[in-house]
Amino acid sequence: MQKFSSYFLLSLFFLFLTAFNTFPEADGHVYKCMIQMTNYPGEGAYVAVSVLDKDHNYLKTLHVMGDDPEWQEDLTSWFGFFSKNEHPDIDAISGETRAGGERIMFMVEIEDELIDAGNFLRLESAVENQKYVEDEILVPLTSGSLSDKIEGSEYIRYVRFIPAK
Amino acid sequence: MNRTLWRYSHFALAISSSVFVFLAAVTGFILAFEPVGKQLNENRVSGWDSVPLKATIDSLQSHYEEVLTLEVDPNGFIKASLFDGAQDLNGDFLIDPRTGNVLGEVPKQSAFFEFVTSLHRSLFLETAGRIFMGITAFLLFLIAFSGSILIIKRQKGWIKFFKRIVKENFYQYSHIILGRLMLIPLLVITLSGVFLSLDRFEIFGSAKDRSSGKTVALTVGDNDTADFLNKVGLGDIRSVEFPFTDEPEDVFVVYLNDRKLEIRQSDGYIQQSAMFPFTALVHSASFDLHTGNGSLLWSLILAFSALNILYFMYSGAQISWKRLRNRIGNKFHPDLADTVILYGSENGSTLQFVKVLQKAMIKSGSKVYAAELNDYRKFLSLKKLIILTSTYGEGDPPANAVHFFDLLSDHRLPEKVKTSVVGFGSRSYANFCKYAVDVDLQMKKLGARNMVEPYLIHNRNYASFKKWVRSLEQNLGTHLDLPATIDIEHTPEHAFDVVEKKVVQDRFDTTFMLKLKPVRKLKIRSGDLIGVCPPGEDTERMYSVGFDALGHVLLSIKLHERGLCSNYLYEHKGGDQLKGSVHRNSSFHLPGSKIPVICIANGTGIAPFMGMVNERRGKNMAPVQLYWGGRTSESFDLYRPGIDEAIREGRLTEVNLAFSKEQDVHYHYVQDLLKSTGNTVVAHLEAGGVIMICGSVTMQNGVYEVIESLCGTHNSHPLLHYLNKGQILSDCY
Repeated sequence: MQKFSSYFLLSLFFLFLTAFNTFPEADGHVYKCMIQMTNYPGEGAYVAVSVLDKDHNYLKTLHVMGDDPEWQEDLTSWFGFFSKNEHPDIDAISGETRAGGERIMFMVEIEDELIDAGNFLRLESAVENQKYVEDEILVPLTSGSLSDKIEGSEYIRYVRFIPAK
Repeated sequence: MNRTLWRYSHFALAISSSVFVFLAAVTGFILAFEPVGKQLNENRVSGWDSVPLKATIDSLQSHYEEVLTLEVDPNGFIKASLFDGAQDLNGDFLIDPRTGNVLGEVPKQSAFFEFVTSLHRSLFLETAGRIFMGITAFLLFLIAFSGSILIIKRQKGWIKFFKRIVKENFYQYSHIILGRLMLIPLLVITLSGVFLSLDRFEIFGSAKDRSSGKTVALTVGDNDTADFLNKVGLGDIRSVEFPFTDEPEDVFVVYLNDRKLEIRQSDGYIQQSAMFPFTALVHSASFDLHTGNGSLLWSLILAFSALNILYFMYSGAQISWKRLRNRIGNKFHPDLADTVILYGSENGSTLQFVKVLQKAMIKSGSKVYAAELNDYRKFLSLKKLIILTSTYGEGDPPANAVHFFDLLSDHRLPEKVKTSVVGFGSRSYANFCKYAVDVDLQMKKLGARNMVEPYLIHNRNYASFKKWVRSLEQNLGTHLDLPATIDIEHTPEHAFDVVEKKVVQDRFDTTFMLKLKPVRKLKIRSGDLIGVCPPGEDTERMYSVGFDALGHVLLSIKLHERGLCSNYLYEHKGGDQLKGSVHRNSSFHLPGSKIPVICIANGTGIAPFMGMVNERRGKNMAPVQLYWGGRTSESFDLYRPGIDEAIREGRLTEVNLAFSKEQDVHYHYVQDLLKSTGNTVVAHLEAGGVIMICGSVTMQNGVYEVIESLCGTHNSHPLLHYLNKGQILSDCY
């Protein structure tokens, strides 16, 4: 009997957890994002696009390029956050990788309250058999930065955002 | 490089790579069905490849708020990356290229195929595994290459690569036949596999780097580039990146198979065209060829090739096992042996006989040493030299005998040495046991004396071998104790139901015809041979096969008073069963239906022609004529019904008969018939017609003489010319 009730409690707990862990739908805006890669040689880069708070703690994952968990691990800082706070729907925000010289477009959803609130936008990158770049891009997340070309430092030439139609 | 070394390489490569090749073949077979499955998928839109790109772009842009990319899978799936807040769409979807409608989600590679792909590509070992599999592909390429060299050596030149191969042993035969058939797909698979794995390590530069090719800037206003989006069909493109914004500096980027185009969004002009570097092109070609991507037929060929690789491993193992099993051991030192048995064998089938003989002679008190012909040396106590050898291809020494003649001139035979040569071969080769005959001649030239005349054995017949041993016993004056049977491969025997026996007796002979029906379906054609072996005997007697109109096998046999086999066959009646082996005799098959044929036979030699006339059914068949000679007109009664029917139905245009023991006939022999026709036979040959002769050798020689003289009188080519061109075929005994 005791065993049963503990199972019951546990499942209730998970139900509770998932209920509050869903995407906050309200007040979000969708942006179109384009990343242009530099002409580096080698495999497609794994890239995580995240929002950090003012102390550089991860708040939200916007997008992950590359969907093989084995290589996602190479995005060291982001994976440390991700593995502790499993994202409810990582499949929906992860996609293809791009190699040198190529570009990619995808949609991201950013809540208005995150913008111009002292938060940061970080893009970190990793290429198989090459290196991991934690701060490929680290800029304040402001409405200004979301309308400008943001230059990358290693594998990414630049990234651009525009609000969806 | 000699054959032995090539064969050894072929074997060593196969052994060393076997585990990985096995894995690659099994997984490759499974993976070949992935594109097959895709091509049969319901979301595949037929006619997708001819839809203009502009139509798809327009319908997508009018339907959805944002269109990011469009990708074309050559298997017929069009994938678009879309966003539409109102329709609650975000992500990649399969679309209908004409309407832009979403057909469904993009199917993920199934976990199963993903698992198999990873195993095939890298054994789950990532980079190290990829290296292994790349090496495996390269080894398989070398195996295919060394195999082709072996075929070329066997066929004596690459020109004869695709010529007929004589069937001696099932595994060997199928290994070679399939090897030839699969050579091209195997080379494609292995080389593309090697390239794909090398590419991973960027030995030739990065294939994914598509930016280093030649870039051509095209000026606006160039008419050739106008309206490109309207002209190009989806079948010709790989993917499209849509402009990021409506600003004029943002363009459509269209990837074709070999280049990348930047296209202005306002009017569809190509602003820039960049060729992919050569390695990128090779990469995508290798990928498509290796995976069957986009082609149903090629996927199926790939699947078939993978199965074949497995069969090559199996048949190759069988061939090697047989070779290894037949190793010979020796009790006596070569310099102490008074008797030396030398053997030549391509695949070890002769070795059984060597073993049996060696054992029997040692038992009878001889000091015997056995070795390959290539191991010939000075034998200090040599008195008797026995040579057992097969022949390779068209009269060459088998692999382990190629140096024998050279060695013979280095180490002279002792004086007064006595020899005997036994040849093993197949009568379906034109040069039956040619090498054994050559060896015997060489021995005689070097002063050796024969104990027993050279003895040639067809199809590893043990009874024939025993006969030779009996002669050897008489010569040596000792008894040689041979086992009653040995475990050798015979041509398999098939059972036949006797449907009917017809007998005709005239004042000289009894001839009869057996109508047989194979119990299980068999591949036989008129002109092939059926070997029958009377019980208690080991020697086969060959009969040429014909067919009646109903498809029964016909054997036509003359009863010899003391003929073991003819008497044995004569005992059979309708309802009995009979066993026989089938021997393909493709050098005596009816030529194509447009070639006129003259059939010449005497006595029971008519049997194959009884069947051949039945092969020419239908319209526009070239004529077939028959010349037949027998003793009396009664003797033709056995064949008359079948022949009459063939004439009535027009399958046989002319029949000419000669009877040697009838008084009131014009012609006594077929030769006389032929002579009387004058230039028709010559005209027939000059027009490309074929003459087929079956019956006694005496008749054949007579016919040859007549043709030779007719050709002379009518100023045509000599007989030899037509024999060489294969216009005169004969099967005489």
